[in-house]
Amino acid sequence: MSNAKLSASEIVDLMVKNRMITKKSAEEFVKVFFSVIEDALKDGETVKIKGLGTFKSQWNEARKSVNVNTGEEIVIDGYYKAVFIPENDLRELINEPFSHLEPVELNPLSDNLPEQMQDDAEEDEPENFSEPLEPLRVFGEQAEEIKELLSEINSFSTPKVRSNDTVKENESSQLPDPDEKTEEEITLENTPMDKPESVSEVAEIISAPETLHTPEHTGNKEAEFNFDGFDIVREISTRFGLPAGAAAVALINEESDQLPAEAESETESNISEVLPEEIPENTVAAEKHEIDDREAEDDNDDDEKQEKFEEIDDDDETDENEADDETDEESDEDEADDETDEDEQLIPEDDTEAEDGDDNDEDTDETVVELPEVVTQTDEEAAETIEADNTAAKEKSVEPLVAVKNARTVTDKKKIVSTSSSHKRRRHYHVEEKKKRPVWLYTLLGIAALGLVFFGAFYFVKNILDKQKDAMYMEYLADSTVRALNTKEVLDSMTPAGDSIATTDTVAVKATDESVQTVISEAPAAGNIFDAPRNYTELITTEKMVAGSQLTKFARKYYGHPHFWVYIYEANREAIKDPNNVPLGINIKIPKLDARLADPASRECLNYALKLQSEYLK
Amino acid sequence: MNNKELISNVASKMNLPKNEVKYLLEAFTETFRNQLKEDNSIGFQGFGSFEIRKKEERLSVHPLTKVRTMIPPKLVVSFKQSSVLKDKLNVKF
Repeated sequence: MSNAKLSASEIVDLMVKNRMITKKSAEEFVKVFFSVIEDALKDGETVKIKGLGTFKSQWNEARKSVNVNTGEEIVIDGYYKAVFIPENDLRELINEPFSHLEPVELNPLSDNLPEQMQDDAEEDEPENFSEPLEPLRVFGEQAEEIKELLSEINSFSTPKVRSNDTVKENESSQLPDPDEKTEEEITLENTPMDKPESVSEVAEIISAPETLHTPEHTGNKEAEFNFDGFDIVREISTRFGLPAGAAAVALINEESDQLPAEAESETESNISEVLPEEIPENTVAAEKHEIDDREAEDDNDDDEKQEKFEEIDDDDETDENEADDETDEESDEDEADDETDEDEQLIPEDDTEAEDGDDNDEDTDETVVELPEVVTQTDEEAAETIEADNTAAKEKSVEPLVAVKNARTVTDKKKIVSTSSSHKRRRHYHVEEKKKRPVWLYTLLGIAALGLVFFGAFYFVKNILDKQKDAMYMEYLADSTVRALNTKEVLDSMTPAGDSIATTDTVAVKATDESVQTVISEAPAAGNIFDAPRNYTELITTEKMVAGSQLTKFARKYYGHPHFWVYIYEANREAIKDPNNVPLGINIKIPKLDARLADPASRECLNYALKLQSEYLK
Repeated sequence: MNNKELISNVASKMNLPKNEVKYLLEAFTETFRNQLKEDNSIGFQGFGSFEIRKKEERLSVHPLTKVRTMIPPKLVVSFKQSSVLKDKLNVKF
């Protein structure tokens, strides 16, 4: 029967079939029904039919249109149109097949999200750690850049050094593990394992380089060490045409406790008779091993390229770092007198390294502390890129600590070639130092200053309030002193009976007529009306205390504010012993009050009433 | 005009008690609803026709928030007045 077109007669038939109705009446009904609706619509009425909906006639405005055939503009006149608005009930019934459907909000991002992410990955290299392949590509690109740099640098260096570097570079680029040996090198070497090492192993490995550093840190050889190390750097830097810095990246994953470490010491008996000791330390999460290898490559590239001491980049600024920095500075200054310029300038770095070694030893499972020292622009760039990578890696893993470690070279002996670069280095070092500290120093100072300002403002406001209070009190004293004299005259003509206790107090106090005492007494209040003794002779009415009655309710009823209950209490002192516990059944006199005394709009009146209240409720 | 007034009007015209008219009206609405429910269109000569139309699903965009919302399809009752009724309604003008 679906989609059939029914006429009125068919409806009538169905009606007759379903209900006990005669066909005649049904037919007539339908006819009349619609004629009634028609008439109503003609009159502009709306017809509401239960179970169906509403019929109404709606005015459609005249509008312009164009005759499609002729292109003429025609005006369609306004007209009434019968419209039917189905009842909700009917609407739901009809829409039942689709009733389970709900409007769905579409998130425009959800559709495009994967694409956007990919775009981001391609555009912002440091941010695409979420995809394992991207970082690798990034590192690869970096390696490329570094190699290019290296070749440039090598073009300035002597052939022998170049060859040496080249060898190393090749090795490092070929081997994922920074595993380097040359015939000329005496190496103490721990290569990062493909499999993660245990913590104890790492500690062992690190202890080896550390032993080398301890003497240089503490002993008399310190100066010599610094001297030598610096010499190497200087020599290399001069040879390469620019001051060199090398950076090594170490990823530490605390959680995994897997800390592949690499410690290398190389002794080079090259032309320079340099004995460099490189200690890049990599602590790598197992799952990130690939990435780390790339990083290690980068590190080694840097190391060999610039073969030098180094800058330590710190991502995680720890107290230890700062402490180290300060120590370095202090020691630097302390020894300034004793040592030559060059030595002195080297001290911070060497100290840093030594302490760094210590820190590494202590913190293997926790944090590798890095000390920042950017020496040259190249170094800075390298550091930046590595930093970015580190940040990426850090965000990727749950709790990774990223440390950029320095590779450094320590030599047996060497001569100082130039001092200019050392000056430069030192200046840079101090600049770094100063840059670093203010960040937290200023923060602390700022907080302290804010606190001071806050407390200052607080006390200032408090003082003002106190002063105001004092001023008011002084006024009040002056008032009462004057009034005390007036009251004394009034007293004579006044009958004590019927006075409130407060008034009596006033009388007593004033009788002494000592202005000071009058001042102390609370009875006379500010305002002309308040100090006058109250005489409750005129009554508005009397109220009987019943359960639920309250003086405050009476006060609200008769005076407009509950605070004025005190006057009712004063008027009924004989009957009421305790204002908090008024006996039931007694008649409460509601006195007639001076309008100036009980003005609910007047703050003075309310305050005075409150004062009395606090007095009576002691 | 509400239901009661309609009933009384019809009753007065048909000379029938209101109860009966009410009964007739209920019978009519019930039939009417049932037929519509079964997707039948109902035409009344000289008045208009009722039919069920399906409104297709559509995408609506909030002009301010730009939130795109998928509006599901639905079935609605549509009434089209007959030209006779239209003429009757507009006879005054």
